[in-house]
Amino acid sequence: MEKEENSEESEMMIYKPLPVEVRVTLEQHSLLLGPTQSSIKKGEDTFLMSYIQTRTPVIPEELTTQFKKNFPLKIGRPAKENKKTRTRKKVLTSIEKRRLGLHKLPKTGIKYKACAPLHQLWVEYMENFLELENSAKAANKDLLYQRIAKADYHGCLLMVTRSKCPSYIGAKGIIVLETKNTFQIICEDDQLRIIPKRDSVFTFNVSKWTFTLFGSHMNIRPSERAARKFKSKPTIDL
Amino acid sequence: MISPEVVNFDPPRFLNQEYTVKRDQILNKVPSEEFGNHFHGITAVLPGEIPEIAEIQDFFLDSIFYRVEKFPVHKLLEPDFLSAFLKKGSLDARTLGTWSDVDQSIIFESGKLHLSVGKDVYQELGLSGHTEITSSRKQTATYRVTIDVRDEKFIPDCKYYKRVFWCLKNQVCLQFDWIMSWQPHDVDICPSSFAAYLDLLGFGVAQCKPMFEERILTQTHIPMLHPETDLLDVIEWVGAAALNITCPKEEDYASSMICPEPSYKSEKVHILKWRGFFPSSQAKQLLGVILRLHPEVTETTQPAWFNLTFHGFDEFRTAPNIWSVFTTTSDACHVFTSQTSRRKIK
Repeated sequence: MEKEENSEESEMMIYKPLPVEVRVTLEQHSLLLGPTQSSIKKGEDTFLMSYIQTRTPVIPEELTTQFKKNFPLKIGRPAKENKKTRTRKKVLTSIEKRRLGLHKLPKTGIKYKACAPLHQLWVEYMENFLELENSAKAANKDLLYQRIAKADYHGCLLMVTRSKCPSYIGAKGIIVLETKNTFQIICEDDQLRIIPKRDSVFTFNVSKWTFTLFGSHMNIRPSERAARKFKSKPTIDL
Repeated sequence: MISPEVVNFDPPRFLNQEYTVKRDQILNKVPSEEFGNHFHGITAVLPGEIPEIAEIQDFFLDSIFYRVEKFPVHKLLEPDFLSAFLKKGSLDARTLGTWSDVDQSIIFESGKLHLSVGKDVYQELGLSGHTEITSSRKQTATYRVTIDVRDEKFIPDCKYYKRVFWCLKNQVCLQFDWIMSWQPHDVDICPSSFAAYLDLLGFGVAQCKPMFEERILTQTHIPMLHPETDLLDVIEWVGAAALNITCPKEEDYASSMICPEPSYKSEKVHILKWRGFFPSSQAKQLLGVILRLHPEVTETTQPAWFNLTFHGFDEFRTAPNIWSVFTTTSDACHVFTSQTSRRKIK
């Protein structure tokens, strides 16, 4: 009974008309705002919105941050990372080498002028290696050809003279990388060009001699080419 | 031993085609410029009394062409030459003395330079092209390279121009004897300025004029273009007339060449022959003149015709060698083309 009475009282409290002071302030507020440009209904809404906005201090961002608070319920171990740590070996595996990008050259970073000293070094190396004074004048040039086949061409100034694809013809530059199937050369306009060896014929100069390389027959990795034995042919087809 | 048969060559394979074209479209079709059509001979067979014959007789009176010796290709693309003669006016040029089946040849026509080169030269040239003849057991491949000189990109500053120029200069073997003719774009410029320029550069230039021959036959029987008659018979008659062979109405003891039926008798036939170097533009002009002529009236309903035959050069056998056009008063023109080649014609 008491409870009912209490509830009735509280109900009465809620449903009582507003006290006079508050009613007056509300009317004053509406007068202050004045008539709005939109319709009367809208006017009431905007008034309502502005009334509520001044009374509620909470910014939505704050709310979200408040909701995001973590309540740790259980202390558990974090998930184990399956990281492959490096073994004791000192040499990089080929997968690691590929991942590190050791086999790729940047397309725009290299300058031709920077490679010119490399070319000088190569010329000296070739002159020593080929022993041109002896081997070029000898009747049997097998020694010379073998040396050419085994030589290292990094730094050689190469030019494409014949090719099945017309756009490779005339490409001239210093070899910066030699792979199994390609020559990667840096041209005079600092452009890195990758030229496949197959179906192309290249020429290069050493002192006053010009040599021709048949690319189709040189599809071997440079490291393996040094150990390979080549058969000598009288004439060569493209 | 009775003379053994030592030499027995098959006749070259040929392809004859006949079709009818409407009068207003004929100038577009015949001759087509895409196949590098220059002509070394034009023959006109015009039966009947023609008042405008003087105009036709004098048609090629002013045309001159030049024979230039040992002219390398890259000289055609030098900046001065390019701006003066290639970009303005129209140049028609062709290499002389080269057979398309055997050697390489170059044609310059309607602003485009066409090179027909063998496999070795193509692999050293550096310009991209298409296979003209595919490689087979009997023959290595021949490639066709086309360069559009009238393109906006083809200026001396441009990378494309520099590449083309370098490639052609690098290839030393592309040096030939040429036959050239230049039509200026402006009436004030004399065509011989072209020859003077070449002479100044130090090349041997010889001026040549086309050869002209005319015959008038009287009282001859002329075949009519009946729908039932075979066009090939009429063509044969035209060829015989041009070669001064008479084809009477009745069969003669000496020869079996007769005038194909149906036929009519005409008072006069003009046969005009020109031999020289004619670009397709000039040929088209002549065809336009012929189209405007009015043929004579025959006894029957079938109209009389005029014939104009163009003989092309041997090169680039993808195009027919001989074009023969019959024009009548009706809307339809009959065209006969013949193409010969040692190889299979597809």
